[in-house]
Amino acid sequence: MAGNRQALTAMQAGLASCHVCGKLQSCKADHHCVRCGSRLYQRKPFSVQRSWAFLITALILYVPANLYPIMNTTSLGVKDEKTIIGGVILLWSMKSYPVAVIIFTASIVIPLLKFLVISLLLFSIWKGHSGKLNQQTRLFRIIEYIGPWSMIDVFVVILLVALIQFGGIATVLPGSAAMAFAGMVITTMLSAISFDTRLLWDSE
Amino acid sequence: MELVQHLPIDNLVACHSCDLLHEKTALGKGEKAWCSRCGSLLYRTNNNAIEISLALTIASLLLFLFAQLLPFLSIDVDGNKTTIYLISTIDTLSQLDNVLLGIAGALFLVIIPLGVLLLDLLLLSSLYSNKRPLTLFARQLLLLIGRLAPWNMLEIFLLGVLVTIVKLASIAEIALHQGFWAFVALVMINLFVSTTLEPEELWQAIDKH
Ligand SMILES: [Zn+2]
Ligand SMILES: [Zn+2]
Repeated sequence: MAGNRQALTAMQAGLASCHVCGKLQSCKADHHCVRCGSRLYQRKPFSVQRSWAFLITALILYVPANLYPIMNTTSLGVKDEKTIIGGVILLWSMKSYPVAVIIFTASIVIPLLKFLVISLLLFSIWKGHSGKLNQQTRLFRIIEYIGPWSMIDVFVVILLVALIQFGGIATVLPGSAAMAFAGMVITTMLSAISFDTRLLWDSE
Repeated sequence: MELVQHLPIDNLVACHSCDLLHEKTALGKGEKAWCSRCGSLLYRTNNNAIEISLALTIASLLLFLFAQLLPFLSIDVDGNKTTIYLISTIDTLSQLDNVLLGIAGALFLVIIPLGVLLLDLLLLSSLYSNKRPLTLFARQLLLLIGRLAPWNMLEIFLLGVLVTIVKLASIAEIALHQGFWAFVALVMINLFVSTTLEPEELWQAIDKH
């Protein structure tokens, strides 16, 4: 454990650690980092607004991503369209339990968790009085880490589309939900990248 | 602002999660320092990992080529055998009407992972060989690598490959080939390098020049 005899934040001391390279330095207006040359900010600029904007975009994309088919299969002349949840149900009925659980978690649970946690934290910053900041910070780090894993289903679609053209068993085409879903994952990641956990602690 | 003059900035570190200042203390091998207020990781010991990371990056580039160019897997439906190469996925996707999905596939499967590996190779070899003209670009290289890092999803793609194999196995016989195993090795090495080599160590190496 490193000592903190001052119990002072970098901002209170007139310092800033560069948001790109982490170098701690004194912060004046319109300053650039002495180490990497990036613009120096004590907090990510427009963090709350950008985080909300990306999150709301993601939430809008979440609707078509789940309503429209993610994959269109033609097998021996029989057409079949599957939504994400339809695919999960099919896998479950075929007794592929581990894969069904992986897809359900990555495609349905993780995005919902991200929406919930990021919007709760943004409300917490807005209201100024914040509960257990330790837990909120840890929750955000977990969400930030598991977020990109939602891409699994997009990769599966890309692979199946590419592979089954050659396979000659059937043809698989990406459904309209595939791009909406990929866009949803990317915008939630951008929302997390824009979020600044230090804003939670500033009210303390 | 008067406070700033009295603080030994070089001996301080600010928590990235809550901004609290801490005095740096010397760490033993493999030790980590944690924030006293929010519990986030402050910094770790320097692993002196530049040399080993350079060797592993060269190995990763070879494995990446093997994974793309060697047979990846083959599908057998009633005696009709088709062998599949990873690189051909991009070709198929580009022939589809869905341009955006083709671009997404090319970006996440080839361009970003290969780009990061090549940038790593340039940066690490310039820091290792200590040549002046190369180290001039090192800052720009490291900035670019940091920008791309969140979008490098090789290990997630590997899980996608495994799910795809399980799905296909229900309709056809699947055999895995050298390309697949090269890809698994690539992901393992990638995970090892990303947990061993700290960006801070690279910044400090650049600062020395
Ligand atoms: Zn910097
Ligand atoms: Zn902290």
